[in-house]
Parts: sequence; structure tokens; C-alpha cells
Amino acid sequence: MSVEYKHTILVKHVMRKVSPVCESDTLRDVALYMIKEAAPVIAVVENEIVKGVIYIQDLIDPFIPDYFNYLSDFRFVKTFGYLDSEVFSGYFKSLFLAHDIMREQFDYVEPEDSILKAMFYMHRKNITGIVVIEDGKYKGIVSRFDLIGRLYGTDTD
Amino acid sequence: MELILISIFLFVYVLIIIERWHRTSIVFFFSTILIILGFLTPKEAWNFVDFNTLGLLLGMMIMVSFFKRTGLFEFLAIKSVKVARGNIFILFVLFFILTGVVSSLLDNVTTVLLITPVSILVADMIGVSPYPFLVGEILSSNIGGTATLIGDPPNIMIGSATGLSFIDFLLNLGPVVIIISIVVILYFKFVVGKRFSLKGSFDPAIVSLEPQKAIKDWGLLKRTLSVFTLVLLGFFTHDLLNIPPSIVALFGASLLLILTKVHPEDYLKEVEWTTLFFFAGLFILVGALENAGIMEMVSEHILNITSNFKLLVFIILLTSAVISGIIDNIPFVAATIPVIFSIMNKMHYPNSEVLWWALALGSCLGGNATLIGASANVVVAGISEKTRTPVTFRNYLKHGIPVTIISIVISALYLYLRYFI
Repeated sequence: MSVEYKHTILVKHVMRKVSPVCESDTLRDVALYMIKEAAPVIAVVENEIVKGVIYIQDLIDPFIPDYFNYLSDFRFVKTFGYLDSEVFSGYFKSLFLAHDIMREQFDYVEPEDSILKAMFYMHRKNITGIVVIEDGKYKGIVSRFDLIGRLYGTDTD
Repeated sequence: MELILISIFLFVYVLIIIERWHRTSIVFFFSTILIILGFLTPKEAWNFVDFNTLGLLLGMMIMVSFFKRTGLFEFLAIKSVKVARGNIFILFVLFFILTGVVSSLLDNVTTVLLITPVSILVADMIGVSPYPFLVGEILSSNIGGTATLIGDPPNIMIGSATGLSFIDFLLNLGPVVIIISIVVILYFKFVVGKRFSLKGSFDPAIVSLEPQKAIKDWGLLKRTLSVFTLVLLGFFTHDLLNIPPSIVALFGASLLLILTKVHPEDYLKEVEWTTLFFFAGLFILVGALENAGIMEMVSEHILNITSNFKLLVFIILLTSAVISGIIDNIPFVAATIPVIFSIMNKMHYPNSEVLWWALALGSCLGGNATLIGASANVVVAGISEKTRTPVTFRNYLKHGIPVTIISIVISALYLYLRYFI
């Protein structure tokens, strides 16, 4: 099967509108919303200004002890004893807000950009979605699934 | 001119302490300044660089990068949990011994980088504070590293300058290191054990660990251990074979590169080149002092204060311990080596190598006094910041200083009983 491109596909052709969240939203609310919207990334907006973004993988971070970064492998562990019960007790979930884990430095694309730019960022930064911003205002997101759908012709004009 | 040179050296030392710039950049820069100012010719500078020390460090660094990829130390740490059979204090002792033994054979920083995160994980898994394990590992890395020629950079420098062999270090420093380790373990058991919650037990059943799976590459492990065994054999016999330890280490490193058929770049990029450049620059700086006769002057001043051999030994032990606890011991050891040589040339003491043992003991064990006394201490402190019980400078002093005092007292007694009676 081959795919024919008649014109440059722009971000605005594949992006979708997903409402942003606020800095004071709890992680639980953010997580449930991202699951409902199938959004791999979400913008954190305050007074119409994009303050940061949260990727779906960022929602796992509060559960992982910081010192785990020093360990290269966990093949030798099956269950984590007291650490398991602590992590799954909901302790971390109750403490964190969107502001606590959002990334303030982030990549974005504009609606008139080619989707190749979005693809590049996703590939290079290993992220599954990217926010769309125009003139400093949040416009929507593009997910990897949106791109794949467009590239492989399952989501054509 | 001597005054300018001494001022430059002291200025360099101060810059290293305040850490405004990286220490390697500092010595690199000032070593070229000294050549430009005519204190040394380029050829003289080159001759002062101790390539035996650099070669030994390089060879060991390459071998360590192979070890890191095997998962061996994680395996040993996890195995310790099984061996401890639920006894928290025994687990502490096993981690202490493991850190000490590995530190005596490989560099302290890599040792703690590999063992400390696993010990924190295990402590979290069994529901105890990792704090005592972290403090124990800091202390043990410096104590263990004192025992051998290759365990700590000061020993490497002393061995290279003096020709003292691997066996010389082991036979002269090994016994006192073992004694100090036992005493420190007893200190943890009877003095601080209760406060540290090292008494009691944990339920081994809640910890689901499979040590075998910690080994990432069995083939690489076999090759690395085989070559390392050969290298150790080389260290034990290098004096007989008349091969410098640096060549033994470089042989081991190159043999591993051949046997594993890896791309050398993958391993060479893990070499701490900044450390090697730091040493090279330092040798040039100290060489300039030597060239200008300043070390002779310093040794004369010291001998004017006392020429009593026993007193000199204890002064060196104490001075190097105090300085090493506060600031970087490597420049101090680099500067002290030619001073001791000068003293020995003047006085011709019998059994004068005791001066070297005093310098090695003081400069290695002194690093335990404060959290900034040694690089391994700083590394463990950094990792501990990611836990809920970080090792802070002030809290560490409560254990670092008593243990250092204990270590130096034992060292002094040992030197006296072994060499002066």
C-alpha cells in the first residue's frame, strides 16, 4: 500500500483541541482527564498563558523514588517489599498538583508548521505528543497516534 | 623567585578549595603559567609528570568500566541480603565489608556509585532507614582503600614515587586496616547501634530478590574476572618480574579490550580524563617547587623543629589526617612526597619507609573526618539527597570525626608497636 501526498501536511490538519488544565489541579484529576481524552500531553495554562506541559509519562514520576536514577536495572527484583505498599498507598497521589510535575521548558509546534517538525520532536525527545501554540496562546495537541493515522491514510481529508 | 613560586602554589591550593573553577582547569592553567614564567622548561615539566601513576589510574579506570557492565557488585550486594537472613546488623556488616574490599581493589567513587543505590533500595524494601548503611559505606570506602597500592590515589602516588610494591602495602597497611574495620564495626554495634536502629530483624520473605539476575552479562563477567585475577597476580609479583604496576594495569585493560572485541571508544569515554589531567598538572606544579629547591627548604625547616624520627612519623600521620579531612589530600600528598624524600636523604633513618606508611594512613583515613574529605563521601551524600534521610555535613561529623580519631589512634599505636619496639 502506498500513500500519496498531494500537499504539505500541516500541524493544523492533524491537531485536536484538548482543554488545558490549571496549575492547581490535582494529579488525580489531570490523570483521569488525560486518560479520558487519550491525550499523551496536556498544557497547563493560567490566565491564557501556557505555564508548562505534562506528558503522560510524567504522571508515573511521583511514584518512583528519586534514587532509582542511580540504578541501571531491576531484573533482580520481583517485588519491592515495604516500598511497594508505600508507593501504592496513594501517598504520592494525594500530595502532588499539576504545578509540581509540569515541565516549564518544553518543545511546541505552531499550526502552520509541517508535521515533519512535530515528528522530529517526538522522535528526538522520545515523547508521544506535542502541544500546539500560536502567538503564545494554546491551540491544541498533536499526538503520535494522530500523526500515524494521517501518515498511513487511516485519517485522510 | 621562590616566594613567587610558593605564592602561586598556595594560590592554586586556595582556588582548588573554594571550587570556583574545576580543579583540573586550575592546575592545567597554572602549570603552563609556570613554564611560561621560566620556572621549568617544557622538557623538565614533562619529566616531572609521573606516567606510572597516570598509567595505573588509566588501566584501572578502563577495567572498572568493564566491571560496571557486569552487574557483579549489585549481585554481591543483593546476595548479602540473602546471607543476612533477616538480621539488620549482619546486613550492615556485610555491606560495610563489601564496600571496603571492593574499595581496596577498585576506585572508591565507582564502588560507592554501584553499591550505595542498592543498599538504599534494600533498606527501603525491608522498611529500615538507609542512613546507617550510607554512613557505613562512606567510612568503609576510605578505610578499605587504605589497604592496598591501588585502593586510593595517595597510595598510588606514594607507591609510584617510592617503588614500594603491592605486597609492601598489603603487608604493612592490611593488618591495621583490618583492625580499624573491626573496631569501627564494634563502634556501630555498641555505641551508635541503638540510635541507628541497627538492632532487630527484618522478614526475609517480604524481600523478593534474585541475585543471579543482577548479573547482566555472564560472558563478560567471566572474562573480566579472569583478567582481573591475572592483574592481581601481576600486582603481587610485579616486583619480582620487574614490571611497573602501571604496565600490569594497562596490560589488563588492553587484554580486556582484545578479549571482548568491543569498540575501545565505548570504554575510553568512561575514563576520568579530567582526573588524569589534574594529576599531570599537579605533578608539574610540585615539580616546579622541587626544581627551585623549595622542598629542600621545607624539609630543613621541619628538621630544625625536630629530627626525632618517631616524632616525625606521628607529625606526618596527624598532619596528613587533619588536612585530608578538610581539603583535597592529593595536592598535599604530591607536595609532601618530595619533602619526605629530602628528609630521608638528609637523615638516613633506618626503617625510614615508616614515614610513607604514616603518610598513606593519615591521608587516606583522614578523608573520613568530614563529608568533603574524600570524593566518595561527596558522591554518597549526593545520592542520599534523593532519599528521605540525607547525610548532611553536620550529621555526618558526629560519626566521621570519632571514627577518624579512632582510626588515627589505632594507626599511631600500630606504627609504634610494629616499627619502634
